[in-house]
Amino acid sequence: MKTDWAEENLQTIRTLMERSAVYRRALAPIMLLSGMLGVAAAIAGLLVQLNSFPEFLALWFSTATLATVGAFLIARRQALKDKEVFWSPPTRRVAQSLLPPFLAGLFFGVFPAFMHAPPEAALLVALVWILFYGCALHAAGFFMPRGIRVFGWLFIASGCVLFCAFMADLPQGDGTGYYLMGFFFGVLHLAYGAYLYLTERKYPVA
Amino acid sequence: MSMLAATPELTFTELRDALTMTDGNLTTHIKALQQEGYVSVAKSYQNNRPLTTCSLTTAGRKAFAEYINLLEQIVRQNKPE
Repeated sequence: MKTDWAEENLQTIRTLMERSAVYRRALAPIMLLSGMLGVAAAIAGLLVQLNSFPEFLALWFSTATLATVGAFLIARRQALKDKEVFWSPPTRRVAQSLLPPFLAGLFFGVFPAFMHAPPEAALLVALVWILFYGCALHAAGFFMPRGIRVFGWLFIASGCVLFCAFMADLPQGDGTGYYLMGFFFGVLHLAYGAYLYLTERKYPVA
Repeated sequence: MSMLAATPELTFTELRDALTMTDGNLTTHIKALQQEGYVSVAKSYQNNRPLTTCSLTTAGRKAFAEYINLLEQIVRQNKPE
């Protein structure tokens, strides 16, 4: 009985420590990188006029891949710098929580492309991505600061509201999909990253 | 140490209240940990009042993780089959 109690307490301490490690692991630079890539992709899409649905899809899948690789490298760099294990159990759990909504988002992007969806589908797919991304952030939020869950809820609520608004009146071929993606995956990430930078304290090493 | 390991930083007041220690007692503990290089203390002002915040250093985090590993090992060894 006593050993179980001690084991449970040690497990709690370990979980809290690992959770804290994930929290410290470069959330602000990851948000800023994702935001910059999001804004750049939206501007590129609008300027180059990638209006067809497959072009929209290709641009955003490439951006998502770049952002994921970048986030992975930033997190790994910080883990190495702090002499911590990168692929720790909480990191695995964060990855596992992100995976289902990301795969669902991938499906909802690829499936319409196979069905030769018209350019207007880009807007609906953008909304679906915003919703799934919100779900992914919320699911991963267990090992992150409370703010990331609020950030996830912002995506979910905005996605639902916009979905209802656009169902009533679907804009036709005016780049709304790019504006939405640019705002949610660009501007909002930049704003959250800047907020984290400004509010996180730098710790002196004794 | 375990409280500081679970969060980026804690104020002196938060630590004192959570551990139900006196100011003097906590100061002594923090000073000892600071001398070993396990804890860093930052002094600042919040609303014109002095604010002392404590955080674990990289060395402190590493030492604490090793300590937890050791405790887990002891618990495993004493666990009845």
